[in-house]
Amino acid sequence: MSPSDWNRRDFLRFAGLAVAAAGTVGFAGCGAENNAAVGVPDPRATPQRDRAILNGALTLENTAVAAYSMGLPLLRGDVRGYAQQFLDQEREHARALSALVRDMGGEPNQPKPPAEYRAAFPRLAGEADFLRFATDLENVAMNAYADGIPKLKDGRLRQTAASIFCDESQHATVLLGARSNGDPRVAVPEPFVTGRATA
Amino acid sequence: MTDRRVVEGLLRLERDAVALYQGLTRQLTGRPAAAARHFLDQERRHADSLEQALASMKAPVPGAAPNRPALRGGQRALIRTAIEHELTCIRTYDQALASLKAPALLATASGVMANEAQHLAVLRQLLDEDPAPVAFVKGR
Repeated sequence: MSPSDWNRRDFLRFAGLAVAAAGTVGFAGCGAENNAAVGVPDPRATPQRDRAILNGALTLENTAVAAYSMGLPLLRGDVRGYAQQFLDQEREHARALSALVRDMGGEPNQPKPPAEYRAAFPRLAGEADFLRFATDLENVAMNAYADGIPKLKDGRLRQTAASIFCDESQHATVLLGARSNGDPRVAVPEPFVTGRATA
Repeated sequence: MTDRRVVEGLLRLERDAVALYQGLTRQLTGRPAAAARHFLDQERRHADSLEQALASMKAPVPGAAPNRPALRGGQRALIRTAIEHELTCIRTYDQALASLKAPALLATASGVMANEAQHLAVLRQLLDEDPAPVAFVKGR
């Protein structure tokens, strides 16, 4: 598959995400967007749903680990350095989420076999392809975290998820900056990060 | 702490950010100035959103003047001042996410926190520093 043939919806399902209203993505099985009035807690927030959200995030982090691992051989110089650093950080995210799911009595989602990721990812011929794909992947992650964080019942879990969300946002900024000669309008497109802005 | 109190605190912080970047746009040049202009626009959007949140709670919107920071030194010192403020913002939003109750406010807070983290990444790059040094961004 070339990047232009890549079926994004199939990929989102592969990564454990659901396409919700208005094209946003969310962790599958975790409920629709909540439009409760300001000042009203979400009555559907439960520890079980928290666990499902974190396990969904884990699937996404496992996907990111696979993507950066496969992309590294295509890269050189500073971009390769950043990709290696981001790979290491995605692994830390995955380890932390896995531990949290286990502590909550759940079974952490496991990484898929490499061949499955290879089949789901677009064909990456070089650095430019990888930067586009990695940016898209980070946007998908940001969209999912933006959707999931407000649904978490436990405030400490919201803090952990937000700290990961912020890191993914920084990854996106660095990748977008690499593609735009550091233009801050491209690197930081949204005042409220949702992951729906693309470059 | 009630959602209203949290939002009032966040609004004060965002107004301080607006004042900071207004000052920086006057003193920085080149690429740092371009970043400051862009971030000023985004901080204004943050403040506007928090004012709207208070209005939707039927709460009065405070009219207090922001803390205007003393901006001294050359480009690097000024960028360092912005970095310190962004770290303060991230820490404050981190605390807010633990106590806010309404999902709409949680969505706003997390989206803003991530934006401040992006500002931080760009500012660090302007100083040739690692833009994303930690896996869990908490403002420390």
